Amino acid sequence: MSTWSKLPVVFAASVACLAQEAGVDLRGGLKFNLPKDSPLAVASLDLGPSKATVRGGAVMLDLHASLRLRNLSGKRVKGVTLLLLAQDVSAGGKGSVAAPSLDVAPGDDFPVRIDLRMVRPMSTGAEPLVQILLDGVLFDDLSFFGENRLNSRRQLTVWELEARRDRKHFQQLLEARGQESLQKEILSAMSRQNDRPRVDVQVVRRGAMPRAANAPATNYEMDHDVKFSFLRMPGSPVELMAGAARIAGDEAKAPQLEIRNRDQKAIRHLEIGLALKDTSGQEFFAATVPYDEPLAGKGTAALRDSATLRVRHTGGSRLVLEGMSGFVNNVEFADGAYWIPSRTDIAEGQLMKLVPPSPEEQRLVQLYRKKGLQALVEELKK
Amino acid sequence: MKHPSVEKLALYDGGELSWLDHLILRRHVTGCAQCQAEVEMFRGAAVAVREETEEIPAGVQWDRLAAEMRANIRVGIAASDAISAYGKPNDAGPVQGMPWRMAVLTFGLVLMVTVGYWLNAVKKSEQIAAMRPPDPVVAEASERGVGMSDGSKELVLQSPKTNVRAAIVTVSTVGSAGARYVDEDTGQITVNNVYVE
Repeated sequence: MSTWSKLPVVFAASVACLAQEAGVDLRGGLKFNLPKDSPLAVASLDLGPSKATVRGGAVMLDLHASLRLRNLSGKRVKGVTLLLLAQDVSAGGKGSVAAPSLDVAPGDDFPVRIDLRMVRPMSTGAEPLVQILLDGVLFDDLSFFGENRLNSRRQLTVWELEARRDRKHFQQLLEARGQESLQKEILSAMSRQNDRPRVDVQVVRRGAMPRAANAPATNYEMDHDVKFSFLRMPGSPVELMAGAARIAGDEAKAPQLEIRNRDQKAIRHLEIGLALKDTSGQEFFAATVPYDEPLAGKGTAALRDSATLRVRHTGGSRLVLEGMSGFVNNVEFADGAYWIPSRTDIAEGQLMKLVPPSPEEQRLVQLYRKKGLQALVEELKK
Repeated sequence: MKHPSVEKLALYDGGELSWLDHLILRRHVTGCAQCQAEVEMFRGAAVAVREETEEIPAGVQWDRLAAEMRANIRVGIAASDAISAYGKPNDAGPVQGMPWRMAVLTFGLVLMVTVGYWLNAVKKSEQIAAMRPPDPVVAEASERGVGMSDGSKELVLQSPKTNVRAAIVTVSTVGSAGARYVDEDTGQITVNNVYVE
């Protein structure tokens, strides 16, 4: 029996131990499904303090898995998405854990943490509580492997393109102006990341948002239409022409947008970033609005969404919205090419604050914070 | 000429009329030979009774006995009136009692109305519950993690133990919520998402 073929057995044994400790029959409770031709394999699995308990007619699973995956392919892995499927949990019960901005050489391992809590009714069926599947792997040549049920290919590719853009930006800065300029730029990036407003965001696709616990008991806030202000990027292939949403207190409802394709190429998918502004003047990135209909070259389209967003300060204090702005986050053309904002596009002050940093920029900032400038320079020279 | 009734003449002779009736009757009897004869007859009868009372055992006071007998007769008449009026409609006031059949019938009616109302209320509440749309599934992204819940079931992807605070949280209007974490030691990025279908 090879090392890799033993792994499912080890995993099953771990689950059996987990079940015994908790006093819950978890036979086949967790299932890790990797396809036979998977470029990744499970090198190790530590379930740590995971436990499952029964409360009344419900099962509560508290899973803390430290997983190590090994790159069995001949290419460098740049990103991975694992799909977590939980049966009988509300509305599909899907989750994912993604690890972007990787650089894993063939034969090397890398860690993935899964910290999941789930409550679902007791089931007499034989299906596992949670299935873990490989949704996608992105390689350094931007090739992709996986079922792509979550559109992981698009997201992993956008992250990788952003990573290349930002690495190139810092590398050019280092080469052209030296370490001092690099340090200044990385400190500026660190400052932007630290200064981002801390908010919690909720969304319902349709229907009314359930009443918030801290909603005012007597003041009924009337809806009012608010027009979008657009943060224009010179290089964007899509122009936002008009847009509005209804705002009531801390909720923004039913965003509507008019968009125009400035490029000759047809568009398959685009994503618009939404920034919200509260009555204190604070602006923060909160949501994305995807458009998944084909948009012909030079064509226009209307985007109507029925979702409702609610935003509050982290910690629970309530805020009152008064405005919205939008910007084009990324575009996927019908021919498979992508557009992401360039560093020049987002260099403008307001956009630089609102557009979320790439995972790679966050990683480089953390490297500098933890190990210093020299480690960052060495990383950029790789 | 109208003569007083025999009963009134008897009461006149016994001295049991009111002073006004006694005065009016004395004027009539004084001028009416027929009524005088009637009074005389009653007086003779009274003498005969008195002679009879002498045969009553010693110690028995006739007057007291007669008063008690009259009182008993009045009590008996009042009781008879009360029994005959029992259960009949009385315009003067409420019915003083209820027959047991009426009580059973009333109880049955009240029970039937109550059960009917309760069954109807239960059915209506079930209909309202069936008409009400299910609670919307809320997806939430916060620094502590991402999750979705419909009130009874939930799925939460928590922040890794080493990174309590998410660096970036966001939602998508197609019904997903995401949180991005940076590992303090390695700098590795983890992005957790939940998806509402």
